[in-house]
Amino acid sequence: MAGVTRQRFWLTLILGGLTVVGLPILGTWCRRHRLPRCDLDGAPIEPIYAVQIVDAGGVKHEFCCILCAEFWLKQQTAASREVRVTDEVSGQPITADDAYFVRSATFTNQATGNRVHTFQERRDAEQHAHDHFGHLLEGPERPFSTDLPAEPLPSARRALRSMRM
Amino acid sequence: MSGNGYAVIGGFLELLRFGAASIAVVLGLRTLCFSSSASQSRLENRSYLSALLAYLLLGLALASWIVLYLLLDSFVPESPGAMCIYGVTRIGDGSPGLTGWLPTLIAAVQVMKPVQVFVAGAVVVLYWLYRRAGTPSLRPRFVTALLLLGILSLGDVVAETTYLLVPKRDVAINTGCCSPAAAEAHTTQPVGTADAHWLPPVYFACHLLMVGLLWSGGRSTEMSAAAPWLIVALAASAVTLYVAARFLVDIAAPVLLHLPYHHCLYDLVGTVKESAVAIGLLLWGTFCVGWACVAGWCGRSPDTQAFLAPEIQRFWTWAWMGYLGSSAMFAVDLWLA
Repeated sequence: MAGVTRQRFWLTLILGGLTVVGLPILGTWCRRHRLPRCDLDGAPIEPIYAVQIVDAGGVKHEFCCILCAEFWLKQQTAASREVRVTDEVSGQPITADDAYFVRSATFTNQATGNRVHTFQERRDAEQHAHDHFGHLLEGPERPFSTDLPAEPLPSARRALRSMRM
Repeated sequence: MSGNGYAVIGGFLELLRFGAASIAVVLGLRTLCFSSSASQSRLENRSYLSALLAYLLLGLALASWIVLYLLLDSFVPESPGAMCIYGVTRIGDGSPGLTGWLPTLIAAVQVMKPVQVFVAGAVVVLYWLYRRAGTPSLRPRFVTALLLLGILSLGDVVAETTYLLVPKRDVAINTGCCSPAAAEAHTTQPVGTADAHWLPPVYFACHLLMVGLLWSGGRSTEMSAAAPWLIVALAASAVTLYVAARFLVDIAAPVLLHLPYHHCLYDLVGTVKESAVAIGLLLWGTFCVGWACVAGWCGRSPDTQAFLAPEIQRFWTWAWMGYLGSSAMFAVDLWLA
C-alpha cells in the first residue's frame, strides 16, 4: 500500500514537473516566428504606416504609428541615430527630416488615435490635407522635432469628436 | 446585444445561472427561516439539493468566467479602436447615459467572477464537512453560505446581462490601448527602472515562503488547524497575491511580450497562452488557502473535531503545489524570454 502511494506521488511529481517546464518551452517555441509587431504596444504593423528608429546602440525598433514611435523616443535617455518613416503613396521608407507630415481627420491607427500621415512629396501631402480636412505640420508641430509627442491620443480623440459634432 | 457566438453562449449561461441562483436563494431562505416547522428528513433531503446546486453554481461560475474573456476578446475586431480586451473594457468611458456605465459594469463583473468561484468552493467545502460529520450541526452554516452564493450569482447575472444588452456599436473609445493611456497618466515605466528592481526577488521569495509555510503546515496535524496558523497563512497568501499581481503587470507582461512599455495582463494571457495556466495555479493556491481557512473557522464543531485537521492539511498540500507550479512556470518563461 505504501509502495502504491509512493509510486503515485512520484508519478504526480513527474507529470506536474513536465507540465510546468514543458508548457513554457512549448509556448516559447510556438511564438518564435512572430510577425512584425509594434515595439511599443505589440500591434500588427501596417507597412505603409511603419516607423523605424535606429537607437544609439544601432538596434532597429519598428512601430505601428508615429505616436507610438514618439512615445518610445520620449522614454529614451540617449539620442537616436536615425528615424525613418514610410511614404504613404509609394510605401518606401524615407528619413523623417525629408518627410512632409499632415494631421488630418483620418486615423492611421484607431487604437492609438494617430492622425499624422507621412509623404515624400509636398504635393501628395497637400492633396491629402485637402481631401481629409487636414493641415501640413511645420516647425515645432512636426513629429520628431521636439521631445514632446505631437498630440497624446485621448485629446486627439476628443478633438475629432468635437469636430464631428 | 451582439449576435456573436460567445454572446449567445454567455446569454445561455446567464439564463442557467439565474435559474440555479434563484432556486439556491429560495432554498436557503426556506431552510434558514422555516427549519423549525420542517421535519429532519425533509431538511436532510433539501441538503442534497443544496449540494447539487452548489456544484452546479461552481461549474457555471467557472464556465462563465472563461466565456467572459472569450466574449470580450471576440468584441475586439467589432470595436474600432480597441487593440485588445483592455480597449473593449473602455467602451463607453465618458459617454452619457447607460453606455457610460459599461466600464464600471465590466469591472464589477471581472471582480465578481473569482469571488463567486471562491464562495462556491467554500460552500462545497462546508458540505463535505457537514456530510462527514453526519450530524445537522453544520447545516445552517452550509445553507447560509449557499444563500450568499445565490445572492452573489444573481448580482453577477444582472450586471453581466445588462453589459451584454447595452449596445456597444458606434460607441467611441478614448483609449483602446493601455500604452497611450499610461503615457497620458505618466505612469508607465520600462522594465528595470524605478521600483521594478525589487519585484522579481520579492515575487519568488513570497512564493518559496508560501511553499515552505504550507508544506510544513501540511505535515503537522496539530499546527494545521490552529487559529493563529490560519491567520498567518491567510495574511501571507494575501500579500503573495498582491506581489504576484504587481509582478505580472510590471515585470512578466513587458518581458514576456518583449514590449518594455506594455504593462497589459490581457495581452499577456492572450499572447503568452501558458501564462493562463500559471495564473490559474496561483489562484488555485490562493483559493485553497482561503478554503482551508473557511474549513478551520466555519467548519469547526465538536462533530468535525476528529477529521478537521487532516482535511485542512489536504488544502495546504494542494495550495503549495499551486504556488510552486505557478512560480516555476513563470521562472522558466522568463528564463526563455
